[in-house]
Amino acid sequence: METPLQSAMHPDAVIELRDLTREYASRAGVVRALNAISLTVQRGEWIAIMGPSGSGKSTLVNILGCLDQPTAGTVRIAGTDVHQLSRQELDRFRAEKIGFIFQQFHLIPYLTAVENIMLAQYFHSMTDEPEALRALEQVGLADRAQHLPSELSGGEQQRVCIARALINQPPILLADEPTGNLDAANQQIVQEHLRALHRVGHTIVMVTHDPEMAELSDRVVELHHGRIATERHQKTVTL
Amino acid sequence: MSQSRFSLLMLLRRGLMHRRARSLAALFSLIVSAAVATALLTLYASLNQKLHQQFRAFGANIILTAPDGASLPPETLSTARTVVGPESRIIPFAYAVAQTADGAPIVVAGTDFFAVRAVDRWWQVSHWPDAANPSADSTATAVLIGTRAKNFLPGENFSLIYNGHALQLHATGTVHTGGAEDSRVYLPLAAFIAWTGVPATTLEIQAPGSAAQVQRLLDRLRLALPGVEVHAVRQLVESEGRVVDRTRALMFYSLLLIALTVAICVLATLMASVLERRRDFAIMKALGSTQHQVSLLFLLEAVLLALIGAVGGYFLGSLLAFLIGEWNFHTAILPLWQIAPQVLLLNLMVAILAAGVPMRILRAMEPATLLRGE
Amino acid sequence: MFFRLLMESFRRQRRRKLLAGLAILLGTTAVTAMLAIGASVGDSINRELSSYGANLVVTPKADTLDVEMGGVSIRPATAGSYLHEADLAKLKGIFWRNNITDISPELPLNITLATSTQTTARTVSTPTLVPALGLWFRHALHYGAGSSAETYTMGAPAMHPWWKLRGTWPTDGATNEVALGSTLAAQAHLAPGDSVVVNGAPARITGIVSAGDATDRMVLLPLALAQQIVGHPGAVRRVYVSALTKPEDALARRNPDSLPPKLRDRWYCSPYANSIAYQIQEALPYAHAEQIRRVAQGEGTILQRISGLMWLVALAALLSAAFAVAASMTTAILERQQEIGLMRALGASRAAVANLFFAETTLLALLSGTLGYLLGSLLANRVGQQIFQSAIPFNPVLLPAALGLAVFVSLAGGAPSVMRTLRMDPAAVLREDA
Repeated sequence: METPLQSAMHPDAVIELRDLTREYASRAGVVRALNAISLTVQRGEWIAIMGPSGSGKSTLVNILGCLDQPTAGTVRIAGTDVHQLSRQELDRFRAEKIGFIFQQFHLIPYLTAVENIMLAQYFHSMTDEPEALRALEQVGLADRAQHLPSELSGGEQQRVCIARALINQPPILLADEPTGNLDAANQQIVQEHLRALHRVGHTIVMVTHDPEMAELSDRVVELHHGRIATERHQKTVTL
Repeated sequence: MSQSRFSLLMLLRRGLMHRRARSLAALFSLIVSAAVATALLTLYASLNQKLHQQFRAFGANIILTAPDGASLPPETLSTARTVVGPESRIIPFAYAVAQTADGAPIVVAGTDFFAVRAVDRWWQVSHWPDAANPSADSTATAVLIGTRAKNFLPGENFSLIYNGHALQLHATGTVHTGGAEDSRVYLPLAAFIAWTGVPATTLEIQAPGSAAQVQRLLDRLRLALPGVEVHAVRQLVESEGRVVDRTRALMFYSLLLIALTVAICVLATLMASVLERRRDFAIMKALGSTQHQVSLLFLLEAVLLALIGAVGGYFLGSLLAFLIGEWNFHTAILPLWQIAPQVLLLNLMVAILAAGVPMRILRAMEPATLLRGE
Repeated sequence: MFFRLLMESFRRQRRRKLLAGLAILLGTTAVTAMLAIGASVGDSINRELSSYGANLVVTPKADTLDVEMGGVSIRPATAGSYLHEADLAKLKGIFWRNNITDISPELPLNITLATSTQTTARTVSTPTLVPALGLWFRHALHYGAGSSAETYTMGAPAMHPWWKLRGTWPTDGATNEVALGSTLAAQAHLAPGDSVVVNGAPARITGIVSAGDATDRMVLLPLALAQQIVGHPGAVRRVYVSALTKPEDALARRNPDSLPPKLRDRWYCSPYANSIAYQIQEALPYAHAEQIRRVAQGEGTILQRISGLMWLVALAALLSAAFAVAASMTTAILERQQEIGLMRALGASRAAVANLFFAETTLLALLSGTLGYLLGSLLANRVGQQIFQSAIPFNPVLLPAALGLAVFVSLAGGAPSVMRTLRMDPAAVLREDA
C-alpha cells in the first residue's frame, strides 16, 4: 500500500527526467516540443499524461520509449542514463525495460496472436510458446491464440498488445492512448486490465485524452506547450 | 500447435506469403533479371562461334593450288582431308580449255557437285545434276552450264572437244553467280579427269573457326603438303575477325546497358517490397529488435527471392537464348552450365544492393515517426 | 491550385521522384541508344563488309565468252567489246549514287616484260609474256558540272583493302609507271624503284603488291597505259562496283518489269544489289550489271544476322526498360498512398486525384525522357565512334518515339496502383501506415 506522498520520497525512481528538452528543425524554424521538463516516476506508479494536441505528449512517450533522443537534458530509466547507450545497447534496453501499448495496436498482420507475442520474446531472448499462451490466457484470449490480427476485434487486438507488452516483464509500461481506438465496452475491458496490472505493481506511463482514463491513475501531469502546466496527485482506488 | 519453431525463416516465409502480390512482383523482377542475364551471357559466349559460322556464307577461306598453274599431286585431296578433319569441307576444282563444235574456246571445270552445293551457297542453280538419277540419255555426261556459256552453246545436249577427244554432254541446269562461273561448263570431277586427263588444280577448303584457328590449319596444311601453295582467302579472313570483334563489342555495351536497366527494375520492386513494410520494421524496433536483426530479415528475403529468381531465370534465359539462336542464326544455342554461377552471383548482388537502398532509407527514419503513421 | 500541387510535389518530394525519374532516364537512354545503334549498325557493318570487295560487276552486254582460269584471262584483250571509261561518271548519277562507295574499272591484257639495264647491272632479259591489268589507282572521278560538280577518289586499292603494297601506287594517267605482283617480282628479282621495259617502252616499278591471289603474278598498269598498249583509248573490259546494299528479301528477287507500279517503285527505291544493278543498266544501256553473288549473298547473310541480333537486343532493352519504369512507378505511387487517401478524405474526386498523378507522371516522363534521349544519343554516338570509327548522328526522329514511349510506359506502369488506391476507402488508406 503506497500513498503518493510515500512514493515521491521513494529512493528508487524508475524514471527520472531532468530539464528534458526536445527540439525539431522544421521549415518554419525550430519547434520546441518539450521545454525543460523535469519529472520523476516511482516504481509502481501509474501516471497519466494529458494535454491538448501538440503539447508534447507523444514526444515525451517516444523519448521514454527510447524511440527518440532528447536535444538536451537527461533521461534516467531504471537507473541508466539512456543518453550514454549506443544504438545497439538502446535496442537491447528497449527489449528489456519497456513494454509498448499503442493506440493503433501495431500487430504484425501476418503473425497470429500468439506469434505476435512470441516475436517480442524472440527479440528479447528466446521464444517460449507455453509462456506466450499463458500471457494470452491472462488477457482472456486463450481461444484466440491462432487468429491473425485481422480476425480479431479492436479490443482483442489491444489485449494482445497488452500481453505482448508484458511478456518480457519490463519495469515500465508505456501506453499511448491505449483506448483511443476502442468502443466503450472494449475500453472497459482494457481499463480493467490496466488496473489489474497496476495492482500487481507495474509502473505505467499513459498518454490519454480521456479524463475518465486519467481518473484511474495516481498522478496526472498536464502538458502545455512543452511544459508541465499542472501536476496533481489523486486518490487511487486501493485494495 | 501449427508452428513450434519460431525463427527468422518462419518470419520470412510469413512475410513473403502475406504480401503475396508484392513478393511475386519482386520475384518476377528477379526472374526477369536472371533470365536476361542468362540469355545475354549465353548469347555472348556463343556469339563468336555463331558469327564465324555465318561468315561461312562467303564459302571457302583456304585455297590450295599447285605453283605456276600446274596440277596438284594426286594424293593432295586425301592428305588435305586427313589434315583438316571432318569439320571442314573440301571442294576440288580442275580446269581446262575445250572447244565447242564451232571451234570457240570454253572453260570446262570438274568438281564435286555435292560439296559445291553445301559450301558455295551463292550458286544459283536451276537444276543440279542428280548423281542417283542420271540423264535419260545415259551416254551423255550430266553437266551444269553457266548462264553466259549457255548463250554460246547450241542447247541442252551438245558435245565439246578436248585434245581431239569429243565428249557428249547433257546440261541438267544452269549456274549463275555473277562471277567467272557463269562462263564455264561444270562436270563431275571423275568424268572430267577421264575425259581430259587433267587432275584437280585447286582445292577450296571451308574451315570453321576464328582467324587464329584458320591460321593454325594453314600451318598444318603447309607442313603436310610441301610444294603446294596454301593460302587463306585474305579478304575473308581479315575482315571476318574485325566484324566479329566489333559486333561483340557492340553486344557488350548493349548488355551493360540492359543489365543496368534490369537492375533498376529489381531495385524498384524490392524497394516497394521493403518500404511497404516499414511499419513492421518500426514495430520490431519498438519490441527491441536490433538493427542487424531487422536488416538480416529483409536481406534474407532479398537473397531468397534472388535464389529462386536465379533458378527460374536461368531456365527461362536459356530457352530465350535457344529461341534467339533458332530465329536469328538458324542453329541451336545450347544452355551453358558454366554461366549458372555467374547468373546466381549477379542476381544475388543485384538483390542485395537493391535491398540495401531501402534499408538505408528505413534506418534514417525514426521508428516513432513510422509508428505514428506520419 | 492544381499546378501548385504539381510543382510543390516536384520541389518537395525529390527522393520519391528520384527512383522513378532514374528508371525512366535509364530506360529511355537504353532504348534510344539501342535504336540509334540498331538503325545504323547495318550501314556500319556494310562498310566493314565492303572490304570483301565488289558486290556488283558491270560488263559490256554484247560480249563474247570469257575464257578465264584462276583469275587470268586466256583470250587476248583485243577481242570482244568494251565499256567506255568516260561513261563511268554516270554511275554517280543513279538514284542510289550515295551508296556506291567505290568504282574500279579493269582492262586485262597481256604484255611483254623485260628487266632493264638503265639502273641495274643486270643484262636485259628476254622479254616474257605476262598477264597485266589496267586499273585506276587513285583516280579523281568528276560528276556533274558547275556548282554541283563533285569529285570522288576511286580505284582498285580501295576496292581491295587486303592488297598489301610495298612502295607507292603508279600515278593514274602516267605511261611509265607500273606496279608488280609479289610472285612475279620475286621471280624476276625486282624491287620498287627498278626499271623495266613494258612492250618496248621503259617504265619504273613504283610498288610491289601482295594480294594473295592471281594478281600476284600480274603487272598492274595505270588504265591509260593499258588502253594505249591495247590500242583502244577509253576502253574498259569490266567495272567492279562496291555498294552499300540491303539484304535480299522476297521482293528483291522479283523481276521489276513484272511488278505492279507501286511495288516496282518500292523495289526501285530499296538499295538491293539487284535494284542498284538495274539502275546502273539504266545509266549505261549498253552494259550488263549484276551482283556478284558470292559477295552480295554473303554480305546479305552477315548483315541480316547482325542486324537481327541488334534488333533483338534493342527489343530486350525496350522490354527491360518498360519493366523498370512500370516497377518504379508502382513503387512511387505506393509510397504516396496516404497522400491519395488524404486528398480523397478532403473531398477530392477520383478524377481530380487521378489527373494530378497522371499530370505529375507525364511531366516526370517528359523531363527524364528528354534527358534520357540526349544521354542515349550521346552514348550511341560514342559507341559508334569507338567501335566503328564513325559517329552515329543524332536522330531527331527518335526523340518523339523515346518520349512517347516514356510517357506511355510510365502512365501504364503507374495507373494500376493509382486506380487500386483510388478504389480503396480513403479512411482505410489513411489507416494503412504505408
